Amino acid sequence: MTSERGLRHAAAFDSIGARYDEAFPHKDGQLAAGEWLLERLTPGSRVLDAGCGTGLPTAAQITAAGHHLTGVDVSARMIELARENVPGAEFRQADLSAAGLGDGYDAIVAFFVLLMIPLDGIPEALRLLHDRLRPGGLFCLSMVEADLEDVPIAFLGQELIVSAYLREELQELVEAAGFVVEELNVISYAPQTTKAVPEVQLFLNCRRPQG
Amino acid sequence: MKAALEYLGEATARIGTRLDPAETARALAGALVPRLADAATVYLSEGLFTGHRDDGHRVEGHRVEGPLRQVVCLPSVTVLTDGLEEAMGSGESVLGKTDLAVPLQVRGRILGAVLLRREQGFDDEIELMLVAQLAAQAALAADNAHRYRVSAAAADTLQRSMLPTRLPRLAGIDLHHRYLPASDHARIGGDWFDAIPLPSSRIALVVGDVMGHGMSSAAIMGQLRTAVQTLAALDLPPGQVLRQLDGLAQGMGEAYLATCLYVVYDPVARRLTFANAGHLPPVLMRADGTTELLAVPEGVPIGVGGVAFEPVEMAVADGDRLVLCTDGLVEVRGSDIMTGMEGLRTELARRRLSLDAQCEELIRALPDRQDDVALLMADLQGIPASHVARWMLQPRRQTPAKVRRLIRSTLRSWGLADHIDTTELLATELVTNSVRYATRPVELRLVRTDALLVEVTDDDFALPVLRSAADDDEGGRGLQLVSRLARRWGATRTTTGKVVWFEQPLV
Repeated sequence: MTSERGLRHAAAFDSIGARYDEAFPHKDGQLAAGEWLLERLTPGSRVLDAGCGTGLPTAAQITAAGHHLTGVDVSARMIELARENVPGAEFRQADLSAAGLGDGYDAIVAFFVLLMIPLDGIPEALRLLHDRLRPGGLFCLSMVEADLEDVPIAFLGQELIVSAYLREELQELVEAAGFVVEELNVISYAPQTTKAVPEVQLFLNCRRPQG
Repeated sequence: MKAALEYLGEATARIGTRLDPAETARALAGALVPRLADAATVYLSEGLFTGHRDDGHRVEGHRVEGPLRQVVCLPSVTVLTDGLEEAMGSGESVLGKTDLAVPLQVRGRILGAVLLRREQGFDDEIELMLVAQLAAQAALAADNAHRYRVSAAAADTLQRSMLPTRLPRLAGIDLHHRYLPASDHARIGGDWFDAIPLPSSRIALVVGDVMGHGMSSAAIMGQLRTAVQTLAALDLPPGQVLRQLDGLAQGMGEAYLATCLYVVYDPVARRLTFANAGHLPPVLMRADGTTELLAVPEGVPIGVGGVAFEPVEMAVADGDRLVLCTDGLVEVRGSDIMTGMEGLRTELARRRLSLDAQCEELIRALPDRQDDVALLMADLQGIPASHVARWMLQPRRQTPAKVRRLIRSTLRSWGLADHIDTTELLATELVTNSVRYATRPVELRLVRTDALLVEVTDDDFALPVLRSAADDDEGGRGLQLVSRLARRWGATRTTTGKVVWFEQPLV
């Protein structure tokens, strides 16, 4: 059951479509996080890409490395683009709480997706992702660094309701959800458009502890 | 008699067409020697040359200008002085046995005199009349030349005073310009150019051309340039800057017609946004060696009205060079202006020089120039994303503390730990003020170039005022502190609120 906020964002991203990759090319930080994951995964691992978007670059990167990837996104248009971009992966239009996404994943990535859910839902979403991971599984999270609680923000001509934390608060939340943060990378990113503004991106490379 | 009239006609034409007092004097001497005299010396008032003419002193109904300059002697070894003082004083010709002194006068003023000598003396009445006629002609021409020079100098000064003498030095862009006035002063034009710093390290580049020539075009140019600066300072999008300018121009009068190209460069996003009001398209010399005439919408000139200015946006790479100019640079008489633009593109594609040298080469290659020329060249250097950090922060009581934390970690990662204390202190002042009045998230931006720029943006329109705080005032000290400790600071109103910024030098 997708929330009202989810439906709204699904519509926004349906409209943004491929423009997302034009405005945000060179996702070096995201690729680096993917590399961190690939270095630690055994061949044929099961990976969940939460908020997969167009499938670029992450779903493509992980699938090309021979892993089984399931991508989910609330936007039907994004799922359509992801299927075109990454034929070797499996994609479903769904939100993170959807039943049937399964569990016991070897790794989960969630790049810039928790920004779109209500602030008070973020701790719960983190716990949900934690529980879908097998003990010892890996978790890569990225967020835009900001201090926002459900604020409407103009983004590529659409309005998104955005929530975000500064790095210390985010790390605390991730740890409270049961993860161990192994790396925190801070990257300044400038979109290739005047319709979005530079941002600071946080990449947290984490692990669900054994046992 | 017929020969005398022919001679008079020719000589008058030679004397009367000069726009320079010295040349007028030389033409006069040349006409008189050897036909009517063996030797001639021409004196003119010094004021005709320097531009500072006094009212002279009054002698018998005349005004006599002085001091005098001896302008020409023909032949050059013979300097005549006999009768000079008397002719100047009386305003009448002075005739001696072999010498004749004729005052040069016009509109009741004596500007100088021509002295002649001839072995056989001057006794032919017709010849005396010829001399008087040519002297009168020369006086009139010298006076007109002076008046023309004064007004041309005024127009030139007016126009130059309204153009920037030097462009701002800004991070992420290197700028050079050339401005050449029209070679013919009567055709002084209304070309202008500008570079205006905008919030977030962006910059607006402007080039424009007021239609028509003369003093009024220069004056209109000054008004339009100021208007563009004011509109740019509001950080309106390029299309809206031109729309507002168009509205203003229509209200100011029918003569307010101009072409104008307005470009915003964002060195962080590496984008150019153009809006055009009938101006020539820019040329882009790409870092990869290709050179193209950019396809910007033509638009209609400022002052015409009724048509929207559609902005176009494009990506640029670091090292790209943008060339903006007015039609004086590419006018080739008898051929289409776009042929001239294509010629400019070809010329630029030939080789890439340093910015200054490339400006110089284009100017030097100009054929016989009629119109004035404005040329603005920019090397787009970009600011790396890693030198920029920007956050949005919901206004809360804890926001200043969060801002200090972000500044500490960012400056430490930039190797600027020495600047943490001052930056934290000043940013706290700005953010505390923003949090008090903002309703939407406050934006903090740090930009590191040859200086450290800190910008705080909020949605409150009231600009902070620098005032001295009384002992019992809660606020008011913050900006005092900023203005004392920062190298530069400022506040700009935008369409959605305001930006307050300060800058510290990085050595």
